[in-house]
Amino acid sequence: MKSVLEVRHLKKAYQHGKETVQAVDDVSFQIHTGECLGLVGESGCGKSTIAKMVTRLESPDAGEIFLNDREITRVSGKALRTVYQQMQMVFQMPVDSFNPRIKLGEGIRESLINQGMGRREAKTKAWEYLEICGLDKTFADRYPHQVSGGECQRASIARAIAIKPCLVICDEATSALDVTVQAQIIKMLKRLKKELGMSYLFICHDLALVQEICDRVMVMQNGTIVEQGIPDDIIMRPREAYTKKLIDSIF
Amino acid sequence: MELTTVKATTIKIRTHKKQQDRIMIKLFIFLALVILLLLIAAFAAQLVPYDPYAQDLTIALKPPSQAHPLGTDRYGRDMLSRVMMGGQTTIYSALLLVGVITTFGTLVGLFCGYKGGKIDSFIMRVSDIFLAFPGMVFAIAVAGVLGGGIINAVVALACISWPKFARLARGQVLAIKNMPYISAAKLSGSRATKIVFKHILPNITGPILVTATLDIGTMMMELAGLSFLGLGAMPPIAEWGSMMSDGRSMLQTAPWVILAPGCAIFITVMLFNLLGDTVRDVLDPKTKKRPNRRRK
Repeated sequence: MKSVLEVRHLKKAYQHGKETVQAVDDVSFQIHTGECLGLVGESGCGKSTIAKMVTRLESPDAGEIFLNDREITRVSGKALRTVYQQMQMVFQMPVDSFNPRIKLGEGIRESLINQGMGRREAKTKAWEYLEICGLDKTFADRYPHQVSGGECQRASIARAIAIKPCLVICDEATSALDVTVQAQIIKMLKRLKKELGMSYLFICHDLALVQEICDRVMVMQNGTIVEQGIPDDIIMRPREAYTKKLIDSIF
Repeated sequence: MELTTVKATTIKIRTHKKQQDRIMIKLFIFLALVILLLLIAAFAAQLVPYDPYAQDLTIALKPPSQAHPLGTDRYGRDMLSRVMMGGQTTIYSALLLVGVITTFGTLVGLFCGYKGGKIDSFIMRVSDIFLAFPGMVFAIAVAGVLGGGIINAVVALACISWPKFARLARGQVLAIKNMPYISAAKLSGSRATKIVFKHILPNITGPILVTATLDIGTMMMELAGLSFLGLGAMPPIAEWGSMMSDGRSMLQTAPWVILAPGCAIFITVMLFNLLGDTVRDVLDPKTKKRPNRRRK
């Protein structure tokens, strides 16, 4: 199977005063076309750091990142902007991920216009994707603080998928939402995956959600991947003590 | 029991709304007064009852009368005309000054805050050096080197005042630079300039605008101060600071000569400060709580 994203020996350390915290330590993984890879672990284990490095919002200390067999570890400027046509991200805090002074519709249009699409075409495209995500046209003219968290997250997903990326990174995309909205969003993500053939890197700390949506899951602890496999296997027959602890804490 | 709570809440909401309305009314009143002042200053040349530069020694140092409401100075020039004409120089120089330092300081702050790294540290150290000098002394030194003239006074004060805005803007940029919506803008493929001017700048204008409005009064005083010391506007140009300087030897014999421009400075500075305070009440999120911000 062709891999969309390949990460090799990724490392990242942060300076905390005099202490050095190894946030991500030698992590390697692959995401195949149309696959949903889950990444679970407690807070502070380095999940979000991986997301930031893959999206190049932060630079890794060592290691390589390949997107569709093209190395993107060190690209910047114009080359990086073309990378973002294939990779998008859905953020944890939906309301914060939209500029409070810009209407949702304009936020969605921005990436389309940056790609060279005309304003009018971008406008109808934004409406189209809002509708795919279960919101009607009127939401395009609202400000982020005028909609609920769930609606905002739908708009955020519409923004991510509007330019048809092949990889979407969901960094705790549902953890700020309540349970019923969470279920709706997950259902929608599953549908979109099937319809548009996208791959997901699904970062989460809820194993039940992972079981619902992911094809494969990796368990992270202190910056390293301790276990990986099919969600059902991991949950039913965890090998590592840490994974057991994680499962016990949920069920 | 429950009913009283409901009542209390209603009263609370009502008083909050009333406060909001009161602030808006205050804003409009001060804004109207400031605009009136600006208009008088702008059209001073057409509005003045006498030529502010025409000398007539036969009526020198006359106290306020029907013909000359604010009296005349030692050359027999009408004080009211001179105060109006001086307003043009003083107010518009102060506005120009504040405009220049706000724009320049904000641009520097945006650049430093967004870029970060060595160049940011360097520029901030430079601004530290500027802030380390006592402002007025430094302005006198710069104005002394540049020579007299109102434009040179503006340049001198701009030199010492921009770091304040640069620091303010930089701090604001740093506060919102790591917000998810900035990351989202990067991910949408926007260039750095677009991110800075479309996503960051509109979100930091509030505090900058408040500081700028509050600074107009201060800058006016400092400009008048430089002119008073003979480093600003050159005679015979009417300017409040230099007019006060002219009249200071006659404080006991002809107090109106110094009182007229003095009161003009007092009223104008106070008006701009009150406007600044009100603008802060309206714009500052810390003092203002927007009800129903999030729909539940």
